[in-house]
Amino acid sequence: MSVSTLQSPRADAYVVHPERKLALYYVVTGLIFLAVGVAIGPAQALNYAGIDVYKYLPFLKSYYQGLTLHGVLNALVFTTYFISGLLIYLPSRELNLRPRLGFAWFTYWLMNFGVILAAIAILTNGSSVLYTFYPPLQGSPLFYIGAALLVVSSLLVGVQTLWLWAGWRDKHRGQLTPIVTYMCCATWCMWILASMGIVVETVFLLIPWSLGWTSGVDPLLSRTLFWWTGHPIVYFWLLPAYVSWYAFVPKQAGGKMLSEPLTRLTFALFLLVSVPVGLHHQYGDPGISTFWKLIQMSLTFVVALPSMITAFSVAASLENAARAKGGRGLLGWIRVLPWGEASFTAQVLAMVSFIFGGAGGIVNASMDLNQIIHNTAWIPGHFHITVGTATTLSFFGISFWLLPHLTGKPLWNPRLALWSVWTWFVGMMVFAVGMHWEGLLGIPRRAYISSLPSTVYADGARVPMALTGISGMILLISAVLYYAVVIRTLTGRQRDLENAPAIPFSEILSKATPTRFQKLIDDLGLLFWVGAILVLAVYLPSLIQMVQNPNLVKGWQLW
Amino acid sequence: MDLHTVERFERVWIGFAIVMALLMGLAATYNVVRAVVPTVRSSVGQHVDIKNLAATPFGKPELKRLGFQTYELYMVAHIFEFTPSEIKLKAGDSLEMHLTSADVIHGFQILGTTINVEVIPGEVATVAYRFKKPGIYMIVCNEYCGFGHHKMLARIVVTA
Ligand code: HEM
Ligand SMILES: [Cu+2]
Ligand SMILES: [Cu+2]
Repeated sequence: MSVSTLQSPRADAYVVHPERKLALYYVVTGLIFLAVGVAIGPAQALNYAGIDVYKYLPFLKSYYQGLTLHGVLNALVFTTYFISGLLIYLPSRELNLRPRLGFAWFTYWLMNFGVILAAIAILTNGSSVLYTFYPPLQGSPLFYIGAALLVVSSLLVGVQTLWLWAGWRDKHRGQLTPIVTYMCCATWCMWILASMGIVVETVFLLIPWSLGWTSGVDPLLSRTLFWWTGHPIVYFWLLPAYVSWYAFVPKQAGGKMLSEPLTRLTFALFLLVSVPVGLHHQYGDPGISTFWKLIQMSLTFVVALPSMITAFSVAASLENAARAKGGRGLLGWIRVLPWGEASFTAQVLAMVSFIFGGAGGIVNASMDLNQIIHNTAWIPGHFHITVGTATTLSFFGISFWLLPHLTGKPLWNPRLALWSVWTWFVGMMVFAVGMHWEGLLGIPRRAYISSLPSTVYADGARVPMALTGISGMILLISAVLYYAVVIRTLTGRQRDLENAPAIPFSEILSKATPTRFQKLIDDLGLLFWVGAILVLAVYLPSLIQMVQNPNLVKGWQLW
Repeated sequence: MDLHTVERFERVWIGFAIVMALLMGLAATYNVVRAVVPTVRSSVGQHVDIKNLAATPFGKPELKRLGFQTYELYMVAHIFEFTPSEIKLKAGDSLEMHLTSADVIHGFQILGTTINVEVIPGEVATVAYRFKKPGIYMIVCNEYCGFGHHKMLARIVVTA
């Protein structure tokens, strides 16, 4: 890593590495949007406890407007900003190459512009269509244009990153891509393939339809294109956390990444099989043949494999680190890990939550079991311990070193940071128990149930509802603690880039050598096209059938 | 802990993961293909015109007796109710349900059973179930359909 030598007394943080500022803006903008989204969460948790607080929230016109904000800001906006900042920054530092700054800032502002359009649509109650925006519910054109711009600008960030990598490869023929860059670029390639569904859906179907240029839209075709993206988007959220778990957490634990070849294989597999699985969100849909649902179900079980490998590799690297520090016993080594470090602890707790999330995911993926929990409260129970914890808590953990690294300002009150981490973990675990349980009792997701008489659901679900309500309060406290740390860190006056934490790149125990196989999977372009062929093979039969037999229906505004 | 031992454990773990994934996949496929768990059926590519449901069997959405203990039901989901909203059966009756929506996408879940399908305007979802136990089975719309979504309920009353 190059060290800043151009320190002026006022230490301009960004002269040597102006891409720091870019990453900082992406990450902090993402965190600001998350703050708004998360603020609504506890009200929803109370709703699932049978307590209606919406009459005290005059700025929300309905439960569903709030839920649209919560889903869009947390799952779509926050993640996209944070990931864009992180996944262009890490390769540029690892390769020591600077992205074209003019273009990089253009994409940042384009993303802001898109989000502002969508925000106007939602805040004026013009688009309470939830973050899945299934037609024929018809939101305002601004909503769909904003969503499309958000995705397109993230793709432009991806292309810039791949461009950097291509430049590096030209100068280093015959060498394997450095590991962090490999993981980031594989993630971007996967996202390019994954996002095509939502891009086609918004640009060709929903935007023209919401502008009145077309009179109808095919609801099933739109749903299918949505889930083309909607499943793999979860890997777009998860893989950046995996980057950190593989490449940074071992170092933070005092150890090393164990096996670079296996790490690369994991990401290659994700690029190949993340996308052709979206039909597992449509098991209950008429109009799609059971055969293709089952094929995509089988592929879903295949994508579980790289996550299983990750669980092993990451756990082994932690054990390795702990034993090197003198930890012993079958599980006793766990005690010597650096539990006092908020960044480390956050990410390990994120991993723990993902074990449960993954187990629940197997249930969701099984077409038979899915019918018991599809669209019940189980589903939000599931994704708050995946994207809401595995991803979000990892990103919190990353922010604890990344913000000081980018700004040169020390982390404010590391103890409070640790508290925010544990309360988030405990809160989400309690939340998950409550919501999974409510789902098994048949309580639907996305429902303003606290406005119903208690005889409908509440009387039969006292305990899980209480757990959900309590978890919402724990999470509210956690969010306040976390944002206190972030705000006080960013507004700190002291700026010392010399002693700021470096990116915790881990050393590697078993390095990848340019064998034929490793050279093959180093060719991400090739993997991309193989992945694309697989996606087309399992989607085209259904899509062609839908396009040939269109079912166009008119739009509705029902909020 | 040397790298060799780790690699051995790693191979065992990956083998275990592959076997598990295979078993889960096969079990689910079996349950679906052999209809151990009834799943949604449909004539792929065939639609009903929701502007003119009167000209289809959905024009008269009601329960029809087909034979001994077998019934057929055409049901329309629309904002924010199901028609018909109450169905009466006897324990042991089999019911084949045909569902469509007259407006936006709705959900159709019968609590206490494994019936859980999406009701998409213009598409016809068919699903069958045999009600063995008497009781009141609640039908819930579990796909967001607008401001009245949470109130969209119906029921099946199964008497002994
Ligand atoms: C304070 C923390 C949080 C609380 C208390 C909370 C609570 C909830 C609840 C109760 C629901 C279910 C609402 C319903 O189905 O009607 C929900 C939905 C959701 N949450 Fe959270 N949440 C929190 C944080 C997050 C985070 C960090 C993320 C993602 C990064 C997230 C993403 C979502 C998404 C995508 C939905 C689904 C929205 C929809 O169904 O349209 N939440 N949240
Ligand atoms: Cu999925
Ligand atoms: Cu509904």
